[in-house]
Amino acid sequence: VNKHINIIIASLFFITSLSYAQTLNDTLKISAVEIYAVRPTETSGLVKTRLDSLVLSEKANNSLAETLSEHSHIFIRTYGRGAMASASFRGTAASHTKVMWNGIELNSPLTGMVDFSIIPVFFIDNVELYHGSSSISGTSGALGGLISLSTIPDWKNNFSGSIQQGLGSFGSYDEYMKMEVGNKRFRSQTRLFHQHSNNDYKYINTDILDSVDLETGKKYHPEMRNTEAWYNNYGLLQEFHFRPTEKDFLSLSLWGQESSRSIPQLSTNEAGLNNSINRDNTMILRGVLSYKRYFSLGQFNVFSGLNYSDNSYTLHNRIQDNKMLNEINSTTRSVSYYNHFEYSFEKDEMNISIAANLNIFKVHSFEEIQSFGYEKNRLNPSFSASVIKKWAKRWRSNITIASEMIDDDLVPLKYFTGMEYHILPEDQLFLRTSIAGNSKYPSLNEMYFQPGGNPLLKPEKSFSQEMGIHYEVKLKDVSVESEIGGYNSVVHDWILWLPTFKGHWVPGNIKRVTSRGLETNLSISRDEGLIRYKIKALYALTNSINQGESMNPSDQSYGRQLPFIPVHSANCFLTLMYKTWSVSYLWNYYSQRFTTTSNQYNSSRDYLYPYFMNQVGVKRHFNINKVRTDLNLKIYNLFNEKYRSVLQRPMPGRNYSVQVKLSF
Amino acid sequence: MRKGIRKYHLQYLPFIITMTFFSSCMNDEKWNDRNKPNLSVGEVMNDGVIILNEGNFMYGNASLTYYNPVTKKSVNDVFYKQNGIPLGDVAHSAGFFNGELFVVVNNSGKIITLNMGRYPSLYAFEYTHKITGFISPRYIHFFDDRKAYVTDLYARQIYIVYPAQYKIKGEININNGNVEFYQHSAEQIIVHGDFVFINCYSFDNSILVIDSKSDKVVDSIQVLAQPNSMVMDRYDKLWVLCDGGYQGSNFLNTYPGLIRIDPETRTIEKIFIFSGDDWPSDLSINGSKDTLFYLNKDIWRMPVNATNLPDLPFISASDRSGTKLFYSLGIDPINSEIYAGDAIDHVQNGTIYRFSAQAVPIDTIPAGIIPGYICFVRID
Repeated sequence: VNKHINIIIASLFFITSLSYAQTLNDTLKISAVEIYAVRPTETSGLVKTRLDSLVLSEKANNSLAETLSEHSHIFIRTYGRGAMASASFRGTAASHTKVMWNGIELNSPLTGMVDFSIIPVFFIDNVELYHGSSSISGTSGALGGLISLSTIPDWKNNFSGSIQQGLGSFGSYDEYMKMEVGNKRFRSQTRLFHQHSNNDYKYINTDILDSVDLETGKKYHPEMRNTEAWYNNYGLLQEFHFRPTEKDFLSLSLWGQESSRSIPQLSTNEAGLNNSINRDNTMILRGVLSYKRYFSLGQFNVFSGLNYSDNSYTLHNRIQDNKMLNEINSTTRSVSYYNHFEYSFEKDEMNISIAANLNIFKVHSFEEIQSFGYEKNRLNPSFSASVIKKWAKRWRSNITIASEMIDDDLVPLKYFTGMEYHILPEDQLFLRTSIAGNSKYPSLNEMYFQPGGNPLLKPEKSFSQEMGIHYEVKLKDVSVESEIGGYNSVVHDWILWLPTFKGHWVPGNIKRVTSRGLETNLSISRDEGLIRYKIKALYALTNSINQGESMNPSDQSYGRQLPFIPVHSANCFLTLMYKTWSVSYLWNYYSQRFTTTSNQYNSSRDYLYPYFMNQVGVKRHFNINKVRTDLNLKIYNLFNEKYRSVLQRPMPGRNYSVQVKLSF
Repeated sequence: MRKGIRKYHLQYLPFIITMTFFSSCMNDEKWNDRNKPNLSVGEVMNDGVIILNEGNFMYGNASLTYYNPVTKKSVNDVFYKQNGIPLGDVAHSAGFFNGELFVVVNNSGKIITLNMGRYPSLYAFEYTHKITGFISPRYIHFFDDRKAYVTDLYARQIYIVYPAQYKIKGEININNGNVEFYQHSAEQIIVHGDFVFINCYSFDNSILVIDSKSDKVVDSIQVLAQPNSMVMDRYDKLWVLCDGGYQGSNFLNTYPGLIRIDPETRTIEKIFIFSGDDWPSDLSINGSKDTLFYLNKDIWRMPVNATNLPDLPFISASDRSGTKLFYSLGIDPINSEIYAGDAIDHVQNGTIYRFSAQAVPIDTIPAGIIPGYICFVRID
């Protein structure tokens, strides 16, 4: 009976979250809800979540943008399938979310941002999210949070591999190949992928008129295709792992990728195919060489890495005599070198860790038509230390400090102080709390972009507090994990690009932004029995409010939610497994997002209406000799919703994908 | 097996309950604001000011604001409310012709026409026709119902439009073959006799002269870098305001300047040089065409017969309440009242400040995002 009651209570908690999400109220009352939570003890006050391996396996043919948007608290702002996608973690700006891969940073040193649409999930074995100031333990300047990606060698099999072929609507096809060979000492892992989509779905364009009957006033909208919206990605990930002894690990990871795409015209464009013809090409080369040694009481880790990115963007028009002429022809190149040293040891229930980094950035940015550009180098040494200590049986504390320099500037000190209390000794029930200060140095574009870069910018500084509860319970064959946490963060000197009377935009330390919110998640799974299932539900309440000084009495942005940040977001992923069959269902929700800083309601173009998206998948696997075959059918946008993620960019209706995977 | 399932049925309860939440309620039409203003043409054409709000580049949220200076009432987003479709991306300028308002929508490559009396059964601002196929149209000037010129930022040609048929019927080539700075771009149009003067703004320094009889470029006048606006005064002198270009660019970078040109001889008669930190724009003229106005952070006024640039602004952008970001300027041709658009942070609805000819504040008008062009209906 107790088991059933626990499941029902846990379900009610999760349903309550979703119900609130659908009411569109900005106020969330949670006091009447009984909460279960789970907390890995080693984190000691940090808020760290991990994407489920089942999710990574399901989304292997997708980008990290779609995966995070559907399975995490992070809001992804996308311009459409295959188009630029940036992240907002806890209501912060895109450059406040850092992404690391095997220890090196993937954010562009020019813009500070990451395009999540070109990171293939197929290249990732593990995704960990460090929420808010918990990121201080891994990097600097991630005021919103840190997304840590990594690859993990499989030492169990000497020879394994897989081939996957996908076909989808709108001329979409993708191929994946993985091969792993080795023995107990040495291992080579190769991954190759290719994705292409014409992305040319049809839609009724309600943003323009074909014609209007001037007698009756009846209006006719054209049916159009989403032309010039294709994307193409291919890449190689080659890794070598060497384990000469049980205590020494040497790894080399190399990631090469080329991505190209065309961004379609806005739905309001009626220039024909004459204007806004664009090509966005990115070539990426990344590499990490790492060595790790384990001692009886600690470990030593050192790595060097490189992240090279070469992007070209052209925007051209078809002028007289059918000539194509570039309106924009920009090239940006960046090379980032990362060097990391870390030593940690544990004694008397105390873990001490020290780390030092020396990072070097070289960038080149040039626009040929207007003849603007800049070149800059940046040197970034940093140092951090942390002490995690267990006090008595139930208390654990975590103190981390980090200091860095950018060229000759000393960036304000970062610190994290966290406490964790094991509430019930017999159960996995934890209370955590933390106070932290973080800072982010301006990106190179913010300081030197031509025209408008502002070399006098100050670092953005945040101060935050958090509290949360975690609970985990295993009831025979049903596991329940749950977590609820609240945070309050203030970012001072928030950098914002603003127009000037000179026509171009200039960044300044304009705003003070407070970000307050709630994050909950619930996971219920039954791993045994005839019918197994897994339910994972997330909900986030995000109030990200501008509290900067108003420019003048007409400025209505004070006290308003930042544009494009949803107050409520939720998602739920269900998987039901029966013998060799499995059915999955995904529901994804965002409340309305304003497109203006003043949160006006003049027309439906001042906000994007709430987003409800449903997708379903059916999967079956069977073995032919020693080859396992997985067949996977997915239906996206199940209810054929008309929706948009940004203004005047129609999104696809119901569409399909079939994946066949052969593994041995 | 049946027993097994029944025995554990409560374990599936969370799964079943969860499924009931997968509702959907997105519907584009449902969210469209259909609160039609249904303004009569008579009301609008009697006394009206129409403000074109550019909207954000690549957002497609341009809009129109209608303002009645007598009642001081305004209707924001009047085009969308009347027609249920967005105006487009970057509404740049407009012109009245034959009972219709031709709105040039720059980054949508089109001109949309709205009823202003041509169709008696329709309300004001009701969609009537469109002219499509431009690359980046900027301004329109009508000669008659068979001919109008449309300038374009990136087409390297001036379009000849047939207004009565809502079609492009020809082009005037203005391509100078300069790939680096995409010349020539074409902006405002001023007619003097049979000749048309067009300023080439973006990374350019030319005023093109076109013979409107032959539709050919017959001359060009070199001015300072980036001539952004022009007016003709009561003495038939052409005034050109140049912002001087961008520091840091390899393109010609000069001081900003105000230039007087004799359109008969096509020679420069006077040059007033600004300081290097200035960025003058939006040259306008009053109804009697004897006083120039322009923006340069503040609003400035200068008689056409002045010998120097003014020392003090006519209306300051800054006061104790804060700083306005003047983005557009319009002078009422009847009473010389001043309308100045404040785009604030460019990501929220802007404001139009209305002043008397003596700079006394009269009204503060709510507008749309980036109010960039102000039309006075009464002149047409």
